[in-house]
Amino acid sequence: MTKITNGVFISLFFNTGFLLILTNANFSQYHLPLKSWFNGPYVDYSTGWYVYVANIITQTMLINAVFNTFY
Amino acid sequence: MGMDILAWFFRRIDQRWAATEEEIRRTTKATQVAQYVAKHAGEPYIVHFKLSMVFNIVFVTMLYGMGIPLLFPIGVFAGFIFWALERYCVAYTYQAPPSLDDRLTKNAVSVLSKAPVFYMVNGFWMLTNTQIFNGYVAPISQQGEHMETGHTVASSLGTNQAAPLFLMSVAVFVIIILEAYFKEHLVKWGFALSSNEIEVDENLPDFYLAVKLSDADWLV
Repeated sequence: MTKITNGVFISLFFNTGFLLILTNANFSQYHLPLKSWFNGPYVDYSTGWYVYVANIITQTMLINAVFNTFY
Repeated sequence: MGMDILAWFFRRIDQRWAATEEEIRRTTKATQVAQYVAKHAGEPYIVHFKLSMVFNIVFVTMLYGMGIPLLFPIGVFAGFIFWALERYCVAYTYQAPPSLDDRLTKNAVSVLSKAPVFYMVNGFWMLTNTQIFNGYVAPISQQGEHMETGHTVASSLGTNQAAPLFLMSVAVFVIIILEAYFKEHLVKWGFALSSNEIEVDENLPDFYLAVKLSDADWLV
């Protein structure tokens, strides 16, 4: 059962915490592998990132908070 | 909770919206016991799925909490909703959960202890942003081109607002590495506390048989 817990957690965490940031990331200025795959609008945690991506993360967390009520 | 309301709705349809207690007990469309039990037993308690949702909220809050402090009150709010709803549902709507040992709890402690690492590492990177904290700007040759951030690990090190986080991150990484690779040897050589567990078997019956009625009232 711990394996299911950890597996579900890893996939949830990747979807909520990383997927959004990766799709909006731009690694062109960093020497990272697969940097050509990441051509999003935000190079760093800039003001634009806080306006757009952070806003979506906050909304997602709010929905997560009340989601359990409906499930 | 929504599923419970739905289950209640289907139960009431099965009872043909009977009004009195007697009618409710006697009315059903089920022709077999298994059908009746399936309708009235409630949802199974999927504790592992609930735990992973709690982990997710804690980790996302820790990952972006330094840059988005609003996530902390949202995390507390989510925790309260989980606590209140699970308490109600375990008492009144779910099937009796299976007798679980302490492995899930120990796993939760182990997983949640890694969350501060995300807080410190990502918090360090957020706090050393050159544009927000130092007003750094670099010229661009064409409109639409991305401005050089000037944000590198080398430029972030030093005495600044993120230095405490950096020092803590290094300390935590050293502890994790020591624990992962050297703990066994340190215990063997006598440089660490032994982790011998004393197994106590009090010969108690199952939880639901062992718990006193007054304790059960308090739990509910």
